[in-house]
Amino acid sequence: MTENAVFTMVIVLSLVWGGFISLLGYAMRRESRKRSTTGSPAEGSRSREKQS
Amino acid sequence: MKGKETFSSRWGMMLAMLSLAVGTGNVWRFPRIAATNDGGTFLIPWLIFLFAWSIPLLMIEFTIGKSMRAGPVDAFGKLIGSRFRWMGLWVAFTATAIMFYYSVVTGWCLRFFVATLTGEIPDAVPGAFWHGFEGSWQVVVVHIVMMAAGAGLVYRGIRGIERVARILLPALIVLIAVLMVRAVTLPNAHIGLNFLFTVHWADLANAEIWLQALTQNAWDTGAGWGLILTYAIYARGREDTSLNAAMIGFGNNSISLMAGILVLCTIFSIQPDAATEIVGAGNNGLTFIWVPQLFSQIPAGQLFMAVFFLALLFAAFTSLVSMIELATRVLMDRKIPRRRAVLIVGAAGVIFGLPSALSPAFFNNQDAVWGIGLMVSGLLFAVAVIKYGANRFRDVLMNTGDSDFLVGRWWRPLVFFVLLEAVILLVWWLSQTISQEGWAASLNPFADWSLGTVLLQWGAALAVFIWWNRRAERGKFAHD
Repeated sequence: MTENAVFTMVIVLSLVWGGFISLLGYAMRRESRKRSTTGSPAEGSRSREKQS
Repeated sequence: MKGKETFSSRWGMMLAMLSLAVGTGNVWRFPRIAATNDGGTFLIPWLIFLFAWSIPLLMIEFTIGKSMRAGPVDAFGKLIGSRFRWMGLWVAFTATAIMFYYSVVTGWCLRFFVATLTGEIPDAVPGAFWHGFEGSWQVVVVHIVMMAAGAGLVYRGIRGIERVARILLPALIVLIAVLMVRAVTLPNAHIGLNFLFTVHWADLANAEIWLQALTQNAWDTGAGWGLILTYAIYARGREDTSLNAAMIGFGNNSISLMAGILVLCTIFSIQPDAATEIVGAGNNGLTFIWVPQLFSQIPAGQLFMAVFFLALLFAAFTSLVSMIELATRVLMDRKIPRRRAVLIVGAAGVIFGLPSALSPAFFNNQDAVWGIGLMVSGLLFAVAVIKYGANRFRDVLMNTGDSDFLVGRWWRPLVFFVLLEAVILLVWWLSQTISQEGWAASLNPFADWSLGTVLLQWGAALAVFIWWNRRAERGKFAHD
């Protein structure tokens, strides 16, 4: 493969595949944090609704 | 049933939404469009429009669906006023009109998967099987089978759709990954990789490449179709919107890249001299004529061919299901129970899909008319947000306490940019058509394909929608 192609491939795959994996990882962390603080996201919403 | 159905979890919802976004556009259109638009050069604008078209529209759809808890017609009415429900009706009808012929496409994939198992393909004369099959009674049979299967799944409700997506989407990713690994390990596969990833910076001045990159993003992410809006109705009460929408865009384009690598490495490895002819053969020509020929020339080719058509079938079927769900939801919003609504949509799908099943010319006509109609749908979503107030939309509906990240001040200019992109795309398409065909030919409304036939069908649909909206406004319909 040419240097130009290798460089573009690394950039594009890092952005698209890496971006997807990063977003997925971030969402998983957020979701587990929600679960650990409220028991479950659904329970959390009910308790927040009561507070408001 | 309205308001009671929800996805079981965030991940079940994400799998269902990704499965609707990933369709045949990823597997057969992306590699072809990338190849005919200078490979790596195309990837630059394609990446930019992921951020400038797909993700904003996915965010808009997700937010509207989750906030309004209604299908496109009533969601537009709740967002910007009931006299604008015709805009939602356009979005819903465009997706439904696509459903009529998309069921035929899904049927083709089923028939070709069966043909690989029975050894009917690859055929001795390239394309003989496809030419004998296209427009025959067999297409009607597989069209009815796929429409019935899709309607049967929607009949079971959103949890049924989620359960099937939990199986089919991971299976699809594994199948495409297997094919991609096989493709990059073929002799001379690096020629395909070179082609897909070499950027010619000077070619970025070519407007055609930018416009093709925008249309590819519009067609293959499902942004602006109203499908994500429909699934978002069933999101749990306090679900995030922005991060989920971004994940759908990135996930969808990740699978497009996998498909691009697998198709182009296979073509350049097996038939490098015919690469231009292969990618220029159109979606059907590439998939149903050339793919069997290409796979027949690699070891265990019959097995990999079956894997390819099974992946294509999974991608097409899960997208078809979302279109059936959208049409069903619109009827449910008119107080029709889900089960009766599915039967109506299923029967309509079978009947109105028949002309596309039997006539390739009619199929191409509908594909053009409603495929381009999606640009108008995207434009209407942007118009709706601007009418509601882009900042208000962000502050009231998007940045709620449930968001995993807060949308910033960039939102308003981005929504206006989406509107601008849709207008540019439509003007470019109009000018291209007229300059290629000439005024007289392009305005013929009865040609298989012309600007005239597009405008006639759009105009007729719009006239009916606006008439219906006015009648509904005056309370002429009992359910309104």
